[in-house]
Amino acid sequence: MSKAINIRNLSLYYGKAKALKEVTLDIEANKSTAFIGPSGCGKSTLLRCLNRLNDLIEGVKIEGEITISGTNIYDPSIDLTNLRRNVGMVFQKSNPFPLSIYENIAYGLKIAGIKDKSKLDHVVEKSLKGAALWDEVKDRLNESAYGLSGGQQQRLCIARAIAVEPTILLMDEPCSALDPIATAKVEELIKELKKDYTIVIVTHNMQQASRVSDYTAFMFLGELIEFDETKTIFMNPSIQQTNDYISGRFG
Amino acid sequence: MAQFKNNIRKKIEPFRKFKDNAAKSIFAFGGFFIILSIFLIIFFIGKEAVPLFKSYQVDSNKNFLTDKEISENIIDFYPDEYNENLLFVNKDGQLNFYNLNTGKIKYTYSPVLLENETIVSSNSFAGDLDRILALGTSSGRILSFKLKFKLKYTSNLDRIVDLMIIPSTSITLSENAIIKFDLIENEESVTAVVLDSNKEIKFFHSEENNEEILSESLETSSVNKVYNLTTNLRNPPTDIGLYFHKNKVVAASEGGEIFLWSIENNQVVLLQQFKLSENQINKITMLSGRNSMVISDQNGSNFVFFLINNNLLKIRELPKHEHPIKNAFRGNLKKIFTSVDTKGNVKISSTTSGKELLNFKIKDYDLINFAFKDIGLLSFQNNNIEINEFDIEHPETSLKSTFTKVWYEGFQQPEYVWQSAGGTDDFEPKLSLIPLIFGTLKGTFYAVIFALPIAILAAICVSQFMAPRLKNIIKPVIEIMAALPSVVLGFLAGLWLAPRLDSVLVGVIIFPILLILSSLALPPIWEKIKEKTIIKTEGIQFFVISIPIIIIIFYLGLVLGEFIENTIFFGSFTDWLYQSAGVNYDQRNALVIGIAMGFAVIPIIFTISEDALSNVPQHLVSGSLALGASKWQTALKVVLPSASPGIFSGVMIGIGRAIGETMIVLMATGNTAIMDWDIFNGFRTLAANIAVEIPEAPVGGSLYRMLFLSSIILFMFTFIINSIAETVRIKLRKKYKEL
Ligand SMILES: Nc1ncnc2c1ncn2[C@@H]1O[C@H](COP(=O)(O)OP(=O)(O)O)[C@@H](O)[C@H]1O
Ligand SMILES: [Mg+2]
Repeated sequence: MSKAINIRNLSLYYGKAKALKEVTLDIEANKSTAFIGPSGCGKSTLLRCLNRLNDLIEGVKIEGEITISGTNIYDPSIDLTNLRRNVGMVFQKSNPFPLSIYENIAYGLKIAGIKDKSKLDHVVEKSLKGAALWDEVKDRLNESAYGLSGGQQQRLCIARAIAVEPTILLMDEPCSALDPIATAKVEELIKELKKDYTIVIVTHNMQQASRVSDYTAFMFLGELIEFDETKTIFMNPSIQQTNDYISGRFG
Repeated sequence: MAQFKNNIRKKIEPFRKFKDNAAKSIFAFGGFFIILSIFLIIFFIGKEAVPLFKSYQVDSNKNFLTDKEISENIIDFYPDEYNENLLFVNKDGQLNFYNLNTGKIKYTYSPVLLENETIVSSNSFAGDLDRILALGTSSGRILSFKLKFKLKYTSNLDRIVDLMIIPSTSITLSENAIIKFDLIENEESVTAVVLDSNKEIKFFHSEENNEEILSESLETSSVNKVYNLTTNLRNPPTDIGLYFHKNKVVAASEGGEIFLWSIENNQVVLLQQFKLSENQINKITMLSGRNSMVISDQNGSNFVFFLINNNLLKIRELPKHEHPIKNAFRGNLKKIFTSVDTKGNVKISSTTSGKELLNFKIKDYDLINFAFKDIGLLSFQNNNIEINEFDIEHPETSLKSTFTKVWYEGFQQPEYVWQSAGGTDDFEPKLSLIPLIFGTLKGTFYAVIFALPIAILAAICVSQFMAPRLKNIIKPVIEIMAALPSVVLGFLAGLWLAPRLDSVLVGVIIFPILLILSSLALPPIWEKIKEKTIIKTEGIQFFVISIPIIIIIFYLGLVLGEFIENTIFFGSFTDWLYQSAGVNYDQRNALVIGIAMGFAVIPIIFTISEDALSNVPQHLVSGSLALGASKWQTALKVVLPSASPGIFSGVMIGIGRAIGETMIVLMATGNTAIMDWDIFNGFRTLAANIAVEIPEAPVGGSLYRMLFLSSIILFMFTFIINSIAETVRIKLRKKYKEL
C-alpha cells in the first residue's frame, strides 16, 4: 500500500505552547484514518496542518515535515491553492456560505476560474449525488443553503469539498453537531467515500471511529501515543494509556 | 431535602421578584421616556412650524361714532400705525387728526389753497423717512406733506400718538381736477401720474439737482415737464399706476384695455397695449416696491401682472369676487393684496402664492382704507367707523410656495428660490425649501461618493488582511477620527483646502485613477520580489512601506496634473472648464465638501463595516480558504456578502450623519442656495441654512417658523433613512441568518 501522507517529527507551537510534539505518522491512501483522543490533545491541530489551515493563526510555528504524494507541503514554493484543492476539508460545524445550494457547490470551481455552465451543472449534480443529497435538494438548488437541516448542511459541505475533486478529505468531527439519524447518514457516506478518497477523520466518538475507520491514531497531550489498524487499537491496544482511554477510564 | 429547598426559595423569592420587577420597570420607564421625549421634540418643533400654513380670521370688529360735523366734509382718512387715531382729509383742505377713543380732534392743519380750490383726491405712502400725504386738487395741483408721527407714553403707560404736518412739494399738472393720481416722492425726485376730470392722463417728473456735475449729465429738458399720455386711448381711462423705474406708466380703461408707456428722452413711447377682457377695469394696484401690479375688474377678477423686459405679463390670478371690485389695497409691509367688492366682501390674498388668506364682509361704506401696518381694514359711512383688525403673520408661505416653483417678482420664470432677506423693505421673501433639500442631498451624495469606497475598502483591508497587532493600532485611530469636531474639519476645508484645491485640481482628480492603475500594476511586481524579501504581505512592514508608495503616487498625480493642466488645459483647468463647458468653479464647492464631509463620514462607515466584517464567523472564512480560495476571493465572495447587512447599516448611518452635518457645510460650501448637481458649485443644506439664518430670524416670524419646518424635514430625512436601513438590514439579516 502506498502512503498518501507522511508526517515526520511534526511539532507545532501556538506562540510558546507546544500543541503537537514530534508527531510521526503515515496515512495510507484510499483508507480512512481516525484521530482519537481527549479534548485538546491536538487532533484538530494536526488535521489542519495537513492543508496548512493553521497558517492563518497568528504566532503559529511549525517544525518537521509533511509530505503529500511525495511533495513537502511546507516548502515555501508550494502553491497553497493547489494544496487545498487537493486536500479538502469538512468542518465540525457545518459552514455553508450565504449563497444558494447550487452556488455553494459551484463555489470551489468558480474561484478556480471555471465558468462553463454545463460543466458546473454537471459537477454540482455529481457532487450532490456523491454526498447522497441530490434527491433531497434537486428541486431547490437555487434556494438558500440555510434552509437545509443540520445534517443536510453537513452533507452539503461534504459535497462542496468533493466538488473540487480532492484526493484527500479531512473531516474534523463532522458529526458532533448532528442527531443520531443524520450521523448515521453521514457515516454511511464516509464509508462510501472511502473508496475514492483518502479520508482523515477526527472524532470524539469511539464507536464512530471503530465504524468508519481502517486505521486509528490515539493522541494525548499533543503526542501520538499509538497508531495501528482500528481493529488492533480497539481490541488489543499495546499501550496501557490507549486501553484506559478506549475503555472509558478517562477522557 | 425538599423542605430545605422550599425554605430557601421562600427567603430568596420575594426579594428576587422585587428586583426583577424593579429592573423591568426601570428599563420600561427608560424606553418610554426616550420615546416620549422624541415625540415631545417633534411636537414642539411642529407647533412652531404649523402657523405657517394656518388660516386667518378677523381678530376684532370695532365701531366708533364721530360727530356729524366732523364727518360731513371728509373725502378720505388715514389711520395711524395702531388704528387709534385717524387723519381726516376735508374737502376744503383741512387736515384733522382725530382720536377715536376720546372723539376729539387733537391737531389741525390747513394748507394754503388757491381761491375756490378744493381737495378732490388723496394718497398716502411711505417716503424716505416719513409717511407722505398727497392731495389732488380741483385746480390740477398735487400738494404733498410729510406726516411726522411721534409716539409717547403717559405715566401709566398709555400710548399717545402725536402728529405734525410739514408741507413738502406742490406741482401743477393739469387745468382740471385731479381724480386719481400716483406719486413717487423722495429726496432726489418727484414723479407723478394723474387722471384728471377731463379723462386725460398726465405725467410729470422732476429731479432735484443737488450736484452740479450730475445735473449736467442728466437731460435737463426732461425736468419739470408735463406729458400728456391720453392720445392713444379709445375708451375712458379708469386708473393709473407708476412703476418704480419712474418712467413707466400703466393705465387701464373702461373697455378692459391696458396701456404701458415709457417716457424716455423727452418722448412718450407706448410700449404695450392690449385688451385683457371685455370687462371694465376698476383698479390698478401697484404692489409695494412698484415692481408689479394687480388689475381688478368689473367681473370681480384680480390678476397679478409682472413687467418683464418691458412687457406686461399676466402671472397669476388672485381669488375672484362674485361682484365688481370697488376698492383694492396693497400690503405695505407684507406681500398681500386686499380687494373689496361692491357688496362689501373682502378678500385678502398672498401676492406671492395667490392663496386666499382671509375673507370677511363689511357694512356698506363710502370711504375705506387699509391699515398702514397691514393689520386692519377701516371703513366709513355717515358717521360710523368700522374697524376690522387681523394679523396675517405669514402671508408668503403656503405648502405650494414651499415645495413648488413660484414666479417671483423680477424673475423670468417660476423657480425654486430660497432668499429670506433682501436689501429693501419691499423685498419679496422667497422661502422655497426645495433648493435646501436639494443642497442637502447633493452634499450627502458627494460625501458618500467620496467616503463609501474608502471606508469599505479600508474596512476590508483592516478586517481581512491586516496583522492583528497593526489592526489594534489602526482601528482605534480611525475611530478617533470620528470624534474630530466637525468645526475643525469645516475650518480646514473652508480655509485651508478650498483655496488650495483649484491649483491642484487636475492632480487630485488624477490621483485616484493613478492609484487604481498602480494597484493593478504593483501586485505582479510584488509577486516577483516577494520571495527575496523578508517582508510578509500580512506584516506591519508591508503596510508601513505602502504609505510612502501612496505618497509617491499622490505626488506623481500632482506633477502629472500640473503637466496636463499646462499642456491640455492651457495653464488653468478652471478657466478651461468655464470657457469650454460653461462650468463655473466656485472655490467652496461640492468637491471640497465631498472630501471634508467624507472625512467625517468615513470613520462611521468604517467602524460599523469593520465590525460587521470582523464578525463574519471564522469557520466561513476557513471553509472558503479550505476550498482553495485566495484571501481576496474569500473576502469578496464570502465575507463581504455575509457582512452586507452590517455594512449597509453603516452606510445608512453615515448618510444620516452627512444629512445632519452642519459645521462643515456651513464653513466650506459658500452657502449659496442654488440648484445644480455640478461638483464645482456650492450649495446650501437644510442644516447649514438653519445655522446661517437663525440669527436673522425674528422669533415668531415666517423665517423663524420656516427654519422649524426645515428641521422637521431634516428629522424626517434621518427618520426615513434609518427606517430604510433598519428594514433592509433585518431583511438581509434574515437572508444571512444562522451564520
Ligand atoms: N488558535 C489557537 N491558538 C492558541 N492555542 C490553540 C489554538 N487552537 C488550539 N489551541 C490549543 O492547542 C491545543 C490543541 O487543540 P485542538 O487541536 O483544537 O484539540 P482537539 O481538536 O484535539 O480538541 C489545545 O490546548 C488548544 O488550547
Ligand atoms: Mg478539535
